[in-house]
Amino acid sequence: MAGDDKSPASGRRRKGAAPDRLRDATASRLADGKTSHSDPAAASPGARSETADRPAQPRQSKAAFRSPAPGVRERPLSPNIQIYRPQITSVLSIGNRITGVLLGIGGVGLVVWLSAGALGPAAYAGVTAALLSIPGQVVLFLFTLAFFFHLCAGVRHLMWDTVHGFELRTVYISGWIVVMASLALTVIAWAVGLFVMS
Amino acid sequence: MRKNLIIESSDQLPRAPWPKRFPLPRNFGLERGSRVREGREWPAPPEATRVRHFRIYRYDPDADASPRIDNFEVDLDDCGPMVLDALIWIKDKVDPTLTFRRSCREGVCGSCAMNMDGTNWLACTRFINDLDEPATIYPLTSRRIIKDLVPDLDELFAQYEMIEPWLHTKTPDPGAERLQSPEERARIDGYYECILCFCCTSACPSHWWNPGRFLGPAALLQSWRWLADSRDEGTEERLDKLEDPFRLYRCHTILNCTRTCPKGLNPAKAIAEVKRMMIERES
Amino acid sequence: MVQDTRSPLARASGLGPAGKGAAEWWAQRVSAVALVPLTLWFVIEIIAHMHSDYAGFVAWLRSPTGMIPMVLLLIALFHHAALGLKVVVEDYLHGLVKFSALVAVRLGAVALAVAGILAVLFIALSG
Repeated sequence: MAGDDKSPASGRRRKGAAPDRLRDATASRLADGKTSHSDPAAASPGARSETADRPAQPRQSKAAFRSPAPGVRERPLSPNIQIYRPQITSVLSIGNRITGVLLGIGGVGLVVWLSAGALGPAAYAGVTAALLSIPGQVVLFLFTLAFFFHLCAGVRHLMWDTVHGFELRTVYISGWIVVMASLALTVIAWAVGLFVMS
Repeated sequence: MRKNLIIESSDQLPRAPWPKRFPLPRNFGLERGSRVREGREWPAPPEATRVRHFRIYRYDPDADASPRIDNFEVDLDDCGPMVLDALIWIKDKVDPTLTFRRSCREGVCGSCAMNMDGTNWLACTRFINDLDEPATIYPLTSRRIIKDLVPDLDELFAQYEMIEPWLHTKTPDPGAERLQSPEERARIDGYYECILCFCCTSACPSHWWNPGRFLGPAALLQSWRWLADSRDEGTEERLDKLEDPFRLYRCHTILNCTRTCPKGLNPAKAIAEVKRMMIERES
Repeated sequence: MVQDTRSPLARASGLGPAGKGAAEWWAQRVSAVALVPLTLWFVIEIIAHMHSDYAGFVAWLRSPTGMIPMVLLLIALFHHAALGLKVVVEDYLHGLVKFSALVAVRLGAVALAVAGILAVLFIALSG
């Protein structure tokens, strides 16, 4: 049946099969009527005078296709982040960036804490009380989570910088390891802090 | 579960039911002329037996002020199994103004690259049965749209042209072939097969935010193809051209490119090799 | 709106390559490698000294095993953060806002690093 045809002639690259030859992509594109090489002579003089009557009409010239002349509407931009599917690749990457920015803010907090220590016991006690309060502990927990995530994702980035681990299977496995390791390390750190050290 | 969680090659589809999109408004950040609205309904002919629904991005530069999504019903018993077959069926039987690029219908020319159910792929090698119901079809992500599903690829081809994708030689022409051992030839395997469909560059968030300045995975993969080719003698100039915080170093190893390549190539790895070459030459 | 009639190749070429970028990328990686042990040291020390008072805090920073890694941590942390935030600003902001943000990030990182190091030295060397 038409819907059940899954023959290999679909041109998918199978493992071990010879790679498809690089065809002359430009030749097939020109045969397909690629518009950026439009031929001004193709528009007949009669058609041109007809289009001149209509307002805001992109003309058959290279300049108009490249950029809008005054009065001509710019081409719409197709949606990107609004419709592109979140995958482990992009989600972990934006997570690394968001946790990085949060840790930058945490760096400010670190300097505040050290400065309070330098200012004396009273200032230090104030900062410590804020940290030990319920909202302070919640912030600290989330901060620890962000830290361990950025650490694990950062190590994954360093692995990539040695040009290892780029096969999709390894990308996915290392990605899940990052997620689980950051959760586990956060829980372990807090468990040791709350139960072992008291 | 393991099949869903670990993807081993780019032709495996994402299977998780959610999230299908980032939690953002539908028209987040789009300028007024790019915001998508609901379009019209196009029912299948009355004799249709097995019907599937397609939501397809439409834009008519002569008539529309902004793009719209049209809802089509496709008779699966009357058309071939691939998404391109459905688009051709719609153009034949329902709406002849539906516009898209196509040529080889076998996944080697790269013309029919578009975004289907949120990921970029070739329409001629994507099975209709692998899509959601209703299937959503958008043009290639973050490109200026000429009409319907036809993106303007001038900018991307210009970035490709800029990396000078031809053999640079300094030694005189030997009169016979420039020799290359099988091991040296193997270094360009996995890179010369690129069909320039630009699925990868359109999938790269870094290229979305800096399209004019970041070269993108396709051009950078091709630049590695020439850097890795032992017959090429322009390595110095090629690396000089790439040494820029934007042209090469906007790559943050997001890896959407490798995930989406319809030919199973690895642009992220090529870019990592280029970065390694850049560091090697200064240490 | 100013019409742009440059060819696509001219627009892609832009202002030409800046001639640098590799050094910054490398510095980000080197500071990351330094931060792995230093941040883990910091987290372990925080957990170990959770219940000590102000005197314990001062004693920790006065000892070489507290002061030296802390100063190294501050240097590596703010260098890595400055480079990372620079990249984030360059990605999302453009024009005058971008340049102002870049100045703010660089100066802020330097100020915080110096303030942190001086605070540590103050605690360790005074009294």
